[in-house]
Amino acid sequence: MRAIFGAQSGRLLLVLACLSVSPAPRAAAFGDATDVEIVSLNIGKGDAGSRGVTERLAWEVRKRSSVEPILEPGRTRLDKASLFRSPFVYWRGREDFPPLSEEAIEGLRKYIHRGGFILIDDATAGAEAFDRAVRRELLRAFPAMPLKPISTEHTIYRSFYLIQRPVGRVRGPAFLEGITYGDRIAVVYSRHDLGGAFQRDKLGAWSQAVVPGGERQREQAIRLGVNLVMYALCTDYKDDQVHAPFIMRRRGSGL
Amino acid sequence: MADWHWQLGIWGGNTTAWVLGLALFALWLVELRSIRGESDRRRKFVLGALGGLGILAVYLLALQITLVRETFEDVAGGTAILLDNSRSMTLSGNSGPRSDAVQALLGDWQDDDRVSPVVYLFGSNVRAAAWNGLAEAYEPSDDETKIRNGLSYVLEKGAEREIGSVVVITDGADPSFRAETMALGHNAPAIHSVVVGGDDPLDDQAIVSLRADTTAYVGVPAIIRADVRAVGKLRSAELRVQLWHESRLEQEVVAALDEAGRGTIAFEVTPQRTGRSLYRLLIPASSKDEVPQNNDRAALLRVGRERLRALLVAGRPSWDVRFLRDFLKRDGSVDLVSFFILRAAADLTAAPTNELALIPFPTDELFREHLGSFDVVIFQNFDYAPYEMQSYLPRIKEYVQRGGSFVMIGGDRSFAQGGYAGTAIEEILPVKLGAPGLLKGSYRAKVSKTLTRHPIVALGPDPALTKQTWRALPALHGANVVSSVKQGAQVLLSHPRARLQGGSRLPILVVGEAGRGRVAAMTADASWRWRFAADDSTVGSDEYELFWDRMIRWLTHDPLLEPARISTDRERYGLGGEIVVSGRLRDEKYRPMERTRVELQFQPAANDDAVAVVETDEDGQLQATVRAPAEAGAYEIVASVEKQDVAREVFIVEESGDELADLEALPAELEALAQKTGGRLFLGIKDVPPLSELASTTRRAAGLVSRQPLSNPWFIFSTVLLLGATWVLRRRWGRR
Repeated sequence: MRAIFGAQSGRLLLVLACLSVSPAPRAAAFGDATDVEIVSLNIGKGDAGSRGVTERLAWEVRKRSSVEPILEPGRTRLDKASLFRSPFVYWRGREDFPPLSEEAIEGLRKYIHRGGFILIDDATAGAEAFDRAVRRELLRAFPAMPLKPISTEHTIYRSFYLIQRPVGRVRGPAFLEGITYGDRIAVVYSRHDLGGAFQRDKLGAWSQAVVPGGERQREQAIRLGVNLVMYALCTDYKDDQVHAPFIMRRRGSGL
Repeated sequence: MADWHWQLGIWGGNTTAWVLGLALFALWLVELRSIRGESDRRRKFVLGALGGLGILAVYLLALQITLVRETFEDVAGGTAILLDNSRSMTLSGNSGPRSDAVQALLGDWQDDDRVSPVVYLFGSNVRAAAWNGLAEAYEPSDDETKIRNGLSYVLEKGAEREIGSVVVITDGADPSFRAETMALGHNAPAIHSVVVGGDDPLDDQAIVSLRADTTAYVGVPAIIRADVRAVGKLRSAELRVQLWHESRLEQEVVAALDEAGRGTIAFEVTPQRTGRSLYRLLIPASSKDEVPQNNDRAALLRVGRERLRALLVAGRPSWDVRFLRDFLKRDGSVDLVSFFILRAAADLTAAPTNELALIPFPTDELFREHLGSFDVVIFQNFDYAPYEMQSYLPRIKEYVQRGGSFVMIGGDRSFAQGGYAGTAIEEILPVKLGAPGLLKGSYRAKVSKTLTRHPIVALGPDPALTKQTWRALPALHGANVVSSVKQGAQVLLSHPRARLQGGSRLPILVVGEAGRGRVAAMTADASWRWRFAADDSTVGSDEYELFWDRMIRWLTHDPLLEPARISTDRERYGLGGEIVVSGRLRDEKYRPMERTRVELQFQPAANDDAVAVVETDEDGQLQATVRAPAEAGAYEIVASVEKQDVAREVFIVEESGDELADLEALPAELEALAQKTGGRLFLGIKDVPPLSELASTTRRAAGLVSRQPLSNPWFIFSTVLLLGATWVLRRRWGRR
């Protein structure tokens, strides 16, 4: 499969490959209310195509793992009860935004307290406007729990794939940042434009080039996305003792 | 004069006395005024003084002063004998059994018919006994010596019966007794003590007490501590203590004793198996040891696992899986091993194996090697077929039937959808599976009316609040359809609308038993919604955790969640000792077994006869007092209703028990008591006098004595003389 997503493959080959590898048909489940849904967050301004990202992420997760996310996930707002339709929210942005309402801040706190997970993705991958606004609002909501770099030893980097460092559409910083709530990371903040590496156009071709690593980096970005979904679903499952010898052995192989 | 009190006899009492006094004083002032013009100072003084004395004498006569005194008399008081009825009175010293000495003393006393005492026996409790025939009937058997209880009882009775003296006959083997704890008034009767065997101290090495955690854990060291003591000639001898377990000598230590001959030793034991584990501590008996019974004592450890071991297997990650695993991981009492299927055969990971953090599903390791080590196995939306687990399903069934527990949680890979119909798993599940079927849509599960007290669903303090709580919880979504509920299973939650073919409600949570194990079938996969919801008024994070905590504890036979429980007042008893059994019985639906006939029986026992038959009260509570078996060992007392065992408790019977463990007499305390009350102390029975010498007198009120010192002719004559002299002198000196 590496060849399919390899850097040398042309765009056409990639499109054909994606069309040929469709997810397994869904089993007859209990319904969307209990299924895994990667909901995108609408804060009213500049969501940078987050819905398309969540659809692609859901598709990749379903294709690669046993998890069966809803392929057409919905949107929600921090100040709406619909926020609690799923414990996974994807918040993507590229622009500055005005301070969130008190209801939204309270919704954010409650969401995290009750077990929710938020993946924040800076689509600018380096500009300051969105970054400054996100940090400001997170500080309002969680003044005692600032964003901190996540060690590359963290379970997030081995919840499904073994990952050495985070990358997205851009190579970005060598770390993700996160807010630890209790014994889990409840908010992950990426400044790598993770979603930018997932986005496809209507024909199924990649929308944006991935720099500087090309398709190999895109694959690593997709893997990071899968790992984040897996972490939200399994938290520190991969820290269980039963996994340790296998993972140590594979880490020792230099990968 | 200190005992005398004065009273006034004048009509009107103090008020009249004051009025009259003031009036007479005014009269005297008038009289003084009348002689103001007298020039002769001597006459003036004489007239004023005589007038004042005369008025005072009249005043004293008018007051009718009476002196009153209470008198007492000494009368022959009653005598009480407080006789030690504990088992230690049966022990033998060099001069023979103590009980023989008591019988001899009582026989001598009964020959003297001048005193007829009241008699009380004391031991575990205090009760009256007949004086006639006491010596012949004396057979001490109580399992405790409580001198203070006996004395308090008699002193209380003494106040009613005018007891003048108490004679305590005991061996003094009550280490807890302290004279200063007795509340003795100044009229307390004399307390004499006869310390039987006081002149013949025992030569004894003993294990006085044992302290061990009643609950221990496999592989975790537990400590058994023992207080030991040596008295008499054996005080200076080496005191070795052995630890025996399952007929094997495991450890031996030599105790270091202090000047009083006492010491403490500790053994560290590491249980290897769950269940009850009996350890014996033994002092190899010397031929000089006069009480070998207290050389051998037992400690019973209930061995469990330090933490419950739970195996959670999930067919794929989901929110239901995530929230349940998080809860179990957070629970410090659970050692969780979880295994999730992250990738199925059809999934395209797009990465070689060495870039994946995935490990093979260790089916053989989990379901063959270590299955027995788990207390509960949870299949959460897990289908076995893709992992070639057919051969393990019978093993899971056997594991449950041997006492394990199993819960299946719903989803599109569970129950019939998971292919479990017709397998060994269906045999242990509390539901019949039938054809695969799924129900969609949201609903609020209804708690069964008759099972609202079942601990898994009893989320409120009473049935009404439990129902209210269930109505308020966030809705569930979807469920696996089963064909029916098995006989004997209990439907705790059901769908509010959907029905089975037979017409009964579609079950959502069913629990039952399979062999010695317990099983649960939860056909929904959205209990996580109780933990994760927007509405503050309906979100049930506490209820979610309470529900799953109770589920795990009920499945693993947590004693606190058993419907019926009994307990004994102590853990160990002497041969034939008194056992107080209490408990609360509820039926399988957790309703109180009110006014129910309960048979109590020992196991093992020589026959099937009940040792007691009692009736519960309206709350299902029971209490009974029974005698411990006559042979040493570990026993269970079993409560049964209509020949069905409903509850049991473990206890130990030892030859010594606590009663024979610490036999050192403490005559100093009894001597202090005697000194305080004017009694006497006798060590041994040789010098004890006849009972009539110990019988005392008691003071009692004999009435009032009164005197009227001024109501006599001489005082009246003196008053008249004084008044007359005053009158004569006034006349003679020109006054009127």
